[in-house]
Amino acid sequence: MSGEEKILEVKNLKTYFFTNMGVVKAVDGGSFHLKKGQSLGIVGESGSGKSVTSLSILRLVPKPAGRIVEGKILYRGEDLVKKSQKEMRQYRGKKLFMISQDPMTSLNPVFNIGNQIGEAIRRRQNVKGNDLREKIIEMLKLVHIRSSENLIHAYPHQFSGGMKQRAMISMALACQPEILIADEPTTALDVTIQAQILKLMEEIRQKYNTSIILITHDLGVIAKFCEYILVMYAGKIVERADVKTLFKGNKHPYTRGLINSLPHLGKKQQRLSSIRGQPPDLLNLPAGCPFEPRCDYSIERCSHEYPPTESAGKGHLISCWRWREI
Amino acid sequence: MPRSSRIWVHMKNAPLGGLTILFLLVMAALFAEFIAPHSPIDQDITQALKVPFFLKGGTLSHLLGTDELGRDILSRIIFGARISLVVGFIAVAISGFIGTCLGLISGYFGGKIDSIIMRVVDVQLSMPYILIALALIGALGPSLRNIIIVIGITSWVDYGRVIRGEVLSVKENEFVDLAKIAGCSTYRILLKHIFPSVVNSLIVLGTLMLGRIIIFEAALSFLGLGVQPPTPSWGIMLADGRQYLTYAWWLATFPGLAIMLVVLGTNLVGDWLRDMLDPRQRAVVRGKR
Amino acid sequence: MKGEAILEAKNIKKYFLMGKEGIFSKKARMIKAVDGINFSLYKGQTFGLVGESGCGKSTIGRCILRLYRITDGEMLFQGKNIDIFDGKEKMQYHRDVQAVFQDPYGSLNPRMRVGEFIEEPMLVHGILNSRGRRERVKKLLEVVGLSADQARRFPHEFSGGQRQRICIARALSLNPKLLILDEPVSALDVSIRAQILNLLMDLQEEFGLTYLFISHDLSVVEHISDLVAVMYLAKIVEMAPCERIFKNPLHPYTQALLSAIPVPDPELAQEAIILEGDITDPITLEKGCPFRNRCFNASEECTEKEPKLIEVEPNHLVACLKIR
Repeated sequence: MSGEEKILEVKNLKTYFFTNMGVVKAVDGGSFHLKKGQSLGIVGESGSGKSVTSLSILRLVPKPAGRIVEGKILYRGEDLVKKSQKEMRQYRGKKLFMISQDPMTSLNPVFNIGNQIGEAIRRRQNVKGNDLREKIIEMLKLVHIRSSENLIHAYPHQFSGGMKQRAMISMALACQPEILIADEPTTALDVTIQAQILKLMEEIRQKYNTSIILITHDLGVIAKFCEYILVMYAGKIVERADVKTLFKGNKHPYTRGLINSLPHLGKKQQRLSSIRGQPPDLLNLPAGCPFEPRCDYSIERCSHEYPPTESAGKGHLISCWRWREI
Repeated sequence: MPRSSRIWVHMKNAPLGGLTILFLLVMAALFAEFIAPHSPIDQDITQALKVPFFLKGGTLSHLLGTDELGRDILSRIIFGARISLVVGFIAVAISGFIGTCLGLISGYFGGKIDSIIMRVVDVQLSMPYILIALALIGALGPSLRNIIIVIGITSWVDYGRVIRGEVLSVKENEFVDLAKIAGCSTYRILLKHIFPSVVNSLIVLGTLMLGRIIIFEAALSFLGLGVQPPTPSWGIMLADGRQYLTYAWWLATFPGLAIMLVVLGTNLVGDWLRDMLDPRQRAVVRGKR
Repeated sequence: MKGEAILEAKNIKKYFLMGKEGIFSKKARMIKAVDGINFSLYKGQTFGLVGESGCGKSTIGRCILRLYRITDGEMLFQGKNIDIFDGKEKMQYHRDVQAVFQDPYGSLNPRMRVGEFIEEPMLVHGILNSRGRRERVKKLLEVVGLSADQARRFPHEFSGGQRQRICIARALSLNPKLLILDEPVSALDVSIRAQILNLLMDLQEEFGLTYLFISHDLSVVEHISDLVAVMYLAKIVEMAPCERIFKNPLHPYTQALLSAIPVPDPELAQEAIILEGDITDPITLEKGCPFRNRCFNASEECTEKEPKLIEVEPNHLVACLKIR
């Protein structure tokens, strides 16, 4: 399905936020790569750093508090970290496209849908008038928005949540990006609509060989959609593996705890196993492994030394002192 | 993040200039008798129109010069601070009280009562406040007490609208519903749940209104509708000094500067308070959703 | 399995008038949020109410809590019609029925210490004296897994999961019989959800509570419920004991809903039944089944007749013309 060509390589990315109350290490040393046509999932909860990772790739980290302090983001060999904002505009909306959770903030409420898709199309090709109109309709049909003739003139607020996301996807299609980053694209949508959107994204991936980075906290969505997965906690990538290994052969206590704590449809349990404690406070991270306070496997070493990344098999990397015993 | 650290962070950004001005204002108002070098109403024609000390011919005994009746400008400004502050605080209190009550009622209950109150606001806003002031003072007669009343009554609308807006959004929180299903009376809900959430706006608005009300008082006194001579009010001083602007500019300029500085001070402090009390400051990085 | 019914909802309807006041105005639109719902809540059991946005599940919760007045129908709590309560009965009702809502950040008054917040219902009802209430607050904090010395703290010092615990403590303070839980874990981090669900189940056992669990998350509903009802556009389309609905869903919507849920297990690759289109705008609908425009089984008669909720198997009710 996905080729072997690495089109995106992130090396030791560190994005910090410098606030009045201290430094927040939102992403602290993340490294991964993305292959052509691959679907990569980044899973984590609040404070994990998954959204900031995507913002870093697109160089949209909110200033002035946020900054990429270290690391490389190589898109086809070009280091995006070194690009100016002007240069980044050549990438964003063309080769790199992002869909976020709330399309209401991504879609301009003052322009109708036809206008916005048309603008996306014109970024790539010089089409006008009737040709443009036909292309817009074609784009909308691709995302299964029927009776597109009338809807071209509709405004975003007249669309439902699902339709807005589909409109965003059609804009993405118009741009024909190489990498599509979807940050919680279906979190705000109903389950049946979510299924539509995920199916649509998969169709796009197959048809155009687009690489997709899907960011979510929903492990079910990850299991269904992604080939390879990164698990993040408090700014660090704690485990990564292909989807089967992650669900069946995970070795990090956080990953395991997370998967085990989910109520499984079809399997009623007496009591859910849970991860104790609270989500991390990014302003007061402990030295050593950030998961240590909640970990049932922690040892003395965990509280003052962060474990190195080690390999447990093909493509399966973990950062844990005790993964061999788990 | 402990609350005390957050407060400390904001203290570091405190607008020292603004706070100093307000501090001086309060000191002047409270201790005018001890600070002012002369009496503000003593006339001495022989000392009329003396220049400020930094010009040729000025003396240290009249640092900012004298007016046409030989009264010391500096002393009059210091005593004038008292008027401005008294009017300012009391009028802010009156308009704040009326505005908050009506804003709470309007925002919380909605419906007809909201429409009625908002209509009153619209009507009042459509009339130039100077006209209202003229009419009321005409009926009541010019005095310190009366301009306080007049200013208080005309200024409540700003509070009313802002508080109503805040109430509309606070109302949407689940804790208001939880209060209802706990059996809380409407009075308790307004007092313990709605009002505390709008207090911040009240404080910030109060600080900003103080500046505006001081200007308002000066304007009314300038027009002769406020305090009457010989009581020194900055507005009256402006009025008196107008005719001497070309050759004795200090009569009007210094009171004018005083007004400007005080308003600047209240604005700076108000802005700072707004930032400090804004709960969104807390959302720095609790956990991005 | 079934004990006594402590709440009976009979043909409940809740309509909202949007736009201009007065039904004679052309601009007024009637939104039928709940349109003829019947169900019963049995003591000590959890009733799961499931559906997507706009189906009316939250509205029912609010009707039960008396935050909305029902437009039609009868809501009986322990045999008494809650719509005609006098002052005293109303206060008693508040002691019997409490709620936990979805948003842990909006549910706590940011200016109130959490101890005061938990104490408030007791204060309002004049229960115990000041000292007694404070003792009880401490006990309640421990019951929900927090420590007693946190009573003096303010909400912003707590995480989402802890806030929900505080809300649960408050809900328990009056010894209620029925708890309306409206998406209580949906806004929480995944790793915290299990904690809170376990807590809710423990409390139910310890205090003999009855729950109405409203959620769009079917796996959570399956875990905690005894009886489940699926809602679509203001009506219940299927209702059955938990295992039945999940093992053998009969209504096309339920089937689509279940198949659409991504299961966190890559080996269970299911093809989701994709429903075309969106959930119809809940304005006044013409006759026929409200699900017909998205149903994969729909036919002519579905546009003509409206299906009624009938028992097709023991204890298993479905509203579909195709299922008899």
